Amino acid sequence: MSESMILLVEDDPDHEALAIRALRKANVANEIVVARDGEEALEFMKHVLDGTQRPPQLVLLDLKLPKVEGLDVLRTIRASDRTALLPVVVLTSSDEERDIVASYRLGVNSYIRKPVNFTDFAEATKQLGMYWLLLNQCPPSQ
Amino acid sequence: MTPKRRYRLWMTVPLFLVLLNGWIAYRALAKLFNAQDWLAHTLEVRTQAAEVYLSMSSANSAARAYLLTAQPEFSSRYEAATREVYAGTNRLQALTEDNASQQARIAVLRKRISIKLGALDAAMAMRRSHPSDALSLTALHPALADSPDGGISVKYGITQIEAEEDRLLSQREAEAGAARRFTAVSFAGALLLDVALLVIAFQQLINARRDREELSARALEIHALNGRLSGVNAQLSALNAELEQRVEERTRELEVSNQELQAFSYSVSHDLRAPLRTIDGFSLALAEDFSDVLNAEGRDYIQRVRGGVQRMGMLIDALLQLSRVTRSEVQREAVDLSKLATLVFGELMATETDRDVEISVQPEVVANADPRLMRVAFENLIGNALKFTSKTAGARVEFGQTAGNGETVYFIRDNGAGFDMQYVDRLFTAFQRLHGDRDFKGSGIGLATVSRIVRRHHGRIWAEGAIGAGATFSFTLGE
Repeated sequence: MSESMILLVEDDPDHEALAIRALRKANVANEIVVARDGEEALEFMKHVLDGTQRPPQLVLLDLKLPKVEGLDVLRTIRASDRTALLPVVVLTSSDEERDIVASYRLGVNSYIRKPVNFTDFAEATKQLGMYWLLLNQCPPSQ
Repeated sequence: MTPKRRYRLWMTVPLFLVLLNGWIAYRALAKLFNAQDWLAHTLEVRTQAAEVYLSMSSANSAARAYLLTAQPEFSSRYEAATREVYAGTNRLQALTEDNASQQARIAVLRKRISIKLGALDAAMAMRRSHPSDALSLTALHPALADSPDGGISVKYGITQIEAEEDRLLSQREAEAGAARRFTAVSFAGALLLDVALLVIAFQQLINARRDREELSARALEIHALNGRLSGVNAQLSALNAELEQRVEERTRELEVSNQELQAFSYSVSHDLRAPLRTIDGFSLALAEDFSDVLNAEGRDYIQRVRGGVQRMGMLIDALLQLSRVTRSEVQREAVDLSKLATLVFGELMATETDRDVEISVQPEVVANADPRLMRVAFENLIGNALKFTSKTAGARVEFGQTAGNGETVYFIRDNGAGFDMQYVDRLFTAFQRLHGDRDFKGSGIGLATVSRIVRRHHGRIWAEGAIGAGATFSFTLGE
């Protein structure tokens, strides 16, 4: 699966490092592309839409992002046909009901609350990887 | 008597009196006319009586003349006069038909007349048979005398009839006079009465007018008061409107501050958690990647760091929950607390599969409360009960309700570590803990949250316990 790639949208460099660490520990060998804020994420998506960038197999999206909010990124992803079916997993520390509801309303595939404990986080990431990259049948790329 | 009835009475009485007067006057007039008629009648009778007398006298004279001269013309005159007498008497009888006593007198008169005329006839027969002889006075005496047989004379008879007639007349005249007087009196009386009634009616009118004036004065008063009242009313509504406006403003201010608070706590909890993840993650990374450099002590330090991070995370969560409980509206509905308790038990026990706890939930306990807040309360109370029985063998946690003092009391009882009743007051205060972390981990916020939930339901919460003998937390929900 060297072709498939994961887009990680995370603004905190520490959390970025930890997330990558967790993924690697879970034996997820895919390429991981990181967008450090909402704007970068949208830029990436634009390239996906005009064909210069192959679409990711999975998008891990944090909600609290500078410049453009995570929910807006999600909305944009869902807005165009080419990317509407992309599996998007919100990975955020917020468990506010309104965030959960809003995310599902916009068509997110899964909502995970990031545990503080790294061990738990690592376990969750492993399960994420196993599920979304191995078990789950991804939509065919358009 | 109602005014209307009284008014009607005042109208009908004079009318009746006037009619009465009319009738009395009519009667008097009738009597008057009657009297006049009677006068005419009496005159007629007298005239007739006089005629009879005249005829009688003519007969008498004619008879005497014949007796003297024996001339036949006197005889025929006598015959004529006699016929006149009888006719006249008949007429007299007819005129006094209605009067029995007069009729009787007339009968007597007739007899006297017939006797006298009989005497005259006899005398004239004598002369006829002896035209030139001188007649004896004795033989002529009955004819010449007024009363041939000693009874009353014709004149007397007639006079009697006339007198009776006169008497009747004066009687009738007296009656007529009485009638006139009566009419006059009744007229005067009725007039006086009418005047009196008029005066009274006038008085009533004045009264009515005065009443009307009084009423209109009162009406004006009321109108003035009404005006003042609407003025006051207007003031009141103005004040009311102002008050409502102020309330609206305050409510809006409150809403705004509430929203700000919400946003604040939301971002605070989020922003506080983020660095925790960093700390935890990299401490572990340190432990894992540099395990060959770290000794047991080093690894221990890292564990402590991670422990601290965990506690901080739990604290933030608990604080967030507390602030949410404070802000949210209490929306009451019928909540099956038994089901809720069972559910929470299940959830909390799911992560502790190695524990053996006896759970007893009284069935069909229903309360009128906010289901979400009750869930938070149960999570804390049952979580506590499970936590404090974690070191107890034969652990038992029960939930139920009792009735006391007319209210329902809900309780959660455990037979775990219990607490010292000496410090019961601090139980529900935030951050006050009666057990150290060594014994039982905790944030010290859980019971403060439950207490706030119960208070927002207008209920009370209290606890009883003994060290090593478990604890019972009881609460009411202000139902």
